Amino acid sequence: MSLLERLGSSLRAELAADPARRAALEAIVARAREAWPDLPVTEAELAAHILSRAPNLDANTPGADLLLALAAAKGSPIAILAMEQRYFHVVDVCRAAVRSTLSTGEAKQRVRDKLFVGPPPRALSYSGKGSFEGWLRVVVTRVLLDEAEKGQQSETLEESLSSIRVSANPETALLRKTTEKDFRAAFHDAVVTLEVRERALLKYALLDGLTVDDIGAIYDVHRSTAARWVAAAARTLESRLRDVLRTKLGAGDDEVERLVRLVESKVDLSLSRELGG
Amino acid sequence: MKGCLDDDVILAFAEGGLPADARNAARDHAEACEACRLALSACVRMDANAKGSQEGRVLGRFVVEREIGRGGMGIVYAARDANLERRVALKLLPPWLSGNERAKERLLREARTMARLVHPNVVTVFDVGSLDDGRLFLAMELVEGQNLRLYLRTPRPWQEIVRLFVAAGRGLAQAHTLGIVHRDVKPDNLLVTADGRAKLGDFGLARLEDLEEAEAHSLRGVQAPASTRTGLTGAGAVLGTPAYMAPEQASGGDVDARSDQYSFAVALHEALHGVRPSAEPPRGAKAPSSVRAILARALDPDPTRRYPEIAEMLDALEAALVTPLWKRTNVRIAAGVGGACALAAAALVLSSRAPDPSRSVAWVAPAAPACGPRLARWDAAWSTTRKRAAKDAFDGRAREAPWTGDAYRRFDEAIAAYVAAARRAEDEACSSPLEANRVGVQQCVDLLGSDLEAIVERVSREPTPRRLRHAADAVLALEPTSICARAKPDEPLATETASVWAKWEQANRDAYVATSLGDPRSASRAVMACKPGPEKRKAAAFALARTLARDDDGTAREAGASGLVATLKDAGLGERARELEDALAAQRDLLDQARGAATGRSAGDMLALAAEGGAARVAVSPDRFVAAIAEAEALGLDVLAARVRIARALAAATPPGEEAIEELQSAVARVASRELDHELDAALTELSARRGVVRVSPLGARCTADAGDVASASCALVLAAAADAIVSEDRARDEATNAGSTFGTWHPAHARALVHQAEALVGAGESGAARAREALAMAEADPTLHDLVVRARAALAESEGTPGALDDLTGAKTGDGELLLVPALVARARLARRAGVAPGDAVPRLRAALPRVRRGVSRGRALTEIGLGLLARGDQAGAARALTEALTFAPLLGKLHRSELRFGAARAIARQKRDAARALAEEAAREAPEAERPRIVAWLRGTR
Repeated sequence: MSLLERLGSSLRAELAADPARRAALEAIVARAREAWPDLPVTEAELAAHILSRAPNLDANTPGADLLLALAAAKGSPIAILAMEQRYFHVVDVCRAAVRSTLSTGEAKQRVRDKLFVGPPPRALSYSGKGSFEGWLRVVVTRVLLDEAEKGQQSETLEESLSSIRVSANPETALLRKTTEKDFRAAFHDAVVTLEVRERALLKYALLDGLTVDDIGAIYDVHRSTAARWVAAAARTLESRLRDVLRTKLGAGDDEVERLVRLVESKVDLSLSRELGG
Repeated sequence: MKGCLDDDVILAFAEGGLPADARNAARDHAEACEACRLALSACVRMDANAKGSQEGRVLGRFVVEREIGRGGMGIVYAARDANLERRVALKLLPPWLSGNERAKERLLREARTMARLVHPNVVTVFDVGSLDDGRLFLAMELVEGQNLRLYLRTPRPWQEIVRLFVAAGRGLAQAHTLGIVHRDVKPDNLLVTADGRAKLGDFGLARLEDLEEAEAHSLRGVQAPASTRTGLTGAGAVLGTPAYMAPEQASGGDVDARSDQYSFAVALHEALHGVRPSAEPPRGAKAPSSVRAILARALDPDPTRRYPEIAEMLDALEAALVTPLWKRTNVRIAAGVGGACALAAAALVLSSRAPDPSRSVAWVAPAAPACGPRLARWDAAWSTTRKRAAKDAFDGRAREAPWTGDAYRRFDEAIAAYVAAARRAEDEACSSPLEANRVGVQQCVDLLGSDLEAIVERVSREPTPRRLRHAADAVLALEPTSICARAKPDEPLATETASVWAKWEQANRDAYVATSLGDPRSASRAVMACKPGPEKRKAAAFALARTLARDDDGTAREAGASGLVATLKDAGLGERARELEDALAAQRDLLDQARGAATGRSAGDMLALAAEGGAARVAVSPDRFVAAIAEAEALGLDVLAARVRIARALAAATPPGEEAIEELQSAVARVASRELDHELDAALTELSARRGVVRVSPLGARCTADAGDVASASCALVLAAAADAIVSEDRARDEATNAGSTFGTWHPAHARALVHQAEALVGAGESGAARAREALAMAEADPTLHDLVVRARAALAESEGTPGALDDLTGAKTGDGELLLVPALVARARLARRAGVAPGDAVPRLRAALPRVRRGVSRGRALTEIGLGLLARGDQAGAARALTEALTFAPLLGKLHRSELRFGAARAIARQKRDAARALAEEAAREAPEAERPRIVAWLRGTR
């Protein structure tokens, strides 16, 4: 019985009318099978899944990953194990990126639940439009963020940015003993005066640890431009901070400069690190 | 979360495949939405883009083979143009170019000009266009070779460098006549092909960067920095010195052909002197003053004072080549490699030094010279000169070793066969329509070729008897060229790595074994000396892998791992340290889950795990280990020692699998052929300890394969070398025949086999006298075979019941020789015991030597005699201890010896464990010779 005959009637009709499409589907299914000969998914099931999730059927349709995702969502232990072995390193990468408080094991369990249990199992929604690993990064990041929200009220964006900036510097830590609260407040006030884009640039660069190449890719600009933007945003933040410190804290010029220099050096370090010194 | 970005959208965004308006919307959303920003960040992070996963991807009419570079100006793939059936370097330009109509237009215009530029010293641009998703691509000639920076890592005479630059300069001059200014002349853009031609690439792209920078501010609506402040974030400092730019270009002035001339001169200056020009003249000038004068003119800050045309500069350089004012000497120039790491780390650094990924010219594929020269290489490998040198080496020893004539014949035959096979492989590869296949095979065969040459070299240069004897074995133990049939091309780096390792190891084998790489602390120091960045990371990984692979036991390995965790942390690689820690933890989980599962990690992953997590933990999965090792070998790493150790770890796993034993055997064969005695010894000990227990023997079957066959030769070699491993009488009987027919009766393997046979006969209670005599006649003629003499004489004495025959041997008491005498001492002790006379000093001497006796059979027999001696003196506890340990070697012993051991042990433990003692005695009775049996039966009756 051909693949076509085993499909449901509507799909069958659709494919019968379009031999090229049918051949493309058959090729994708065959390749997927070759990659994973033993997974408990029939060819008809796989074909239907591909047609529903990735109906374009182009040469890059990742049939093998679609098959793996489908089998895993159906609870095949081999598929789940294979998926974990191939792709679960992503969990640790994302865990670090979102500063999740979950342990590796906990995080993986959450991701397993979402991907393979659901309901519905999230793995079914992989559409093959991009790499599976890339897709998984998005899913895992979302899962980890959801968990974080469940756990406790997350900090405001500004707080997260300012706490990173302040606490990561040992010298600030010394100063903080006397003026921590005030400094944080000042930092917060300075951050909120930034443009949305400026804030985003700083977060990409400093919180998310993206390189200027990555940021350039997001904004579709050359890395040097991205670097300049980030630097400009940092300068703006710095000058706002200077203003706030002076007006709200009434800090003397020396102290203001000392505090600002700390911020400055942090930004510079981040930038110089990712620009390769 | 309402309004949030779809997973697919984020993914498509990150992979650069979303229409412009959707892109803008997604970007704006992510800026304001914490969750989406984080998801996007996770997805976009560059290091996450797994290299290589692109293989087979179809981009328009191109099929991607692999990524060969990426940077600010896009990603470069080695790809196949399916329409024209040719390989190209496919450069995908970054999305900002696709979204910018003016940039696009300009690129197309420039590309058309570039396509007109056809010159042997310029990388040809075949085509430019856009893919279905709008991304722009540039298809270029795929240059097989390396960029100048890599090329200059090998010191070159200044003349060679100048010649290369003159050639590349001609290409540049041609471009100038077409009105094309390169704008980015630098060593990374200058390629050297496998046959030594220079090619200049990346024309005109720099200009697009300029364009983008100029337009970016207005297009994006984000303010430019208020001023160019000094300090780290000042534009100049952040972006790095535009090291090769002419002053007028750096300051944003008018750029023309003379700016290229300036950049060209900077690159040449650096190539010649190892540094870029500065106010101070280079120390110890390496090029003649005529060349320096030419450079000085081309480097004039004022463009009008440079050469009006670059062609004039090139003419001047050529003139300097012909009539050097400076005395022509072969000044070697070590360019660009200096100072990053301490000497101890040199190999690590070189092997791990990647070209700067962001800027390097990336379409460099590994070299694939034509067939002719390659075949000639094989003629050279066993040329008349080399043959004569080798023959002389063998003949030179003819007086002391009468077998050298045969040995040379075997050596010659083995090499001739190997060379013939290699030529066949080359021939096939050459006619392959798939270039990738061809290159891969050639690289692979090249590595084997250098192995072969190393053997010939060593044999000819230092013809020790041992080396001569095993010369042919070494050739036979080389990997067959057939393993190259499906080899894929390495990254250029990997090839380089391999040769660096090879060179370094050849020169430093001893130091290497003894010091830095075996010692986590030195490795850590070496890593610490490296510059931070990817280089250091890789050096750390290497050090890690090597260190862990060399550690002797699990504790050391764990210590090494945690030491490296600390080192990584110190080195500011905290993330990597965490990865390692997590990997260690995750691995435990994984192994629990994976036990029995059919699917597995890739070989590379397993190697990393093996290295990072320690061999013992992964030992449950031998096949993956073997695969990991194969992969490491394919990368050109010398994993021999690691292989033996891993094999030992495998064999030590309980229960050891057949594969493990086979792996161990094959490791032994390789080690034996390479004369790594310390490893050999360890491996043999393990093999002999395991073999008796598991009774695995694909070996016996394999050894009966046709004589001369490589597998059977190395197998017979194992048999011959793995002395005590082979104990079954049947097998021992076959062995001499095997060894004789495989090696010729002159070969020590034959003598060794005869000794085994004699020993096996003695162990079975039969006479091994005839074989022992035959072996003795051979071994006595060769002073290097003293161990065989002792063993043959011991077997002879035991066969004939003449303990006195060994007096002259055991009388001479020497410190180091004592271990060698163990078989004789055992024989004497046994014969005295059987005769009911005092054993003299044999037993005390055995006890003294015992800690160093590691071979299974020897240890088992020595312990037996020690235990029975103690038993005779009434020391039951001592006897029980010795004999119980001896029982672990029982499967290795012949049935006569085993029966004696078991009965002794039964008597020693009878009081404490009556049932066990009776069981032992019953076994003993079963195997005992007729004459002995009544005694045991009587004892059994007595203990009922």
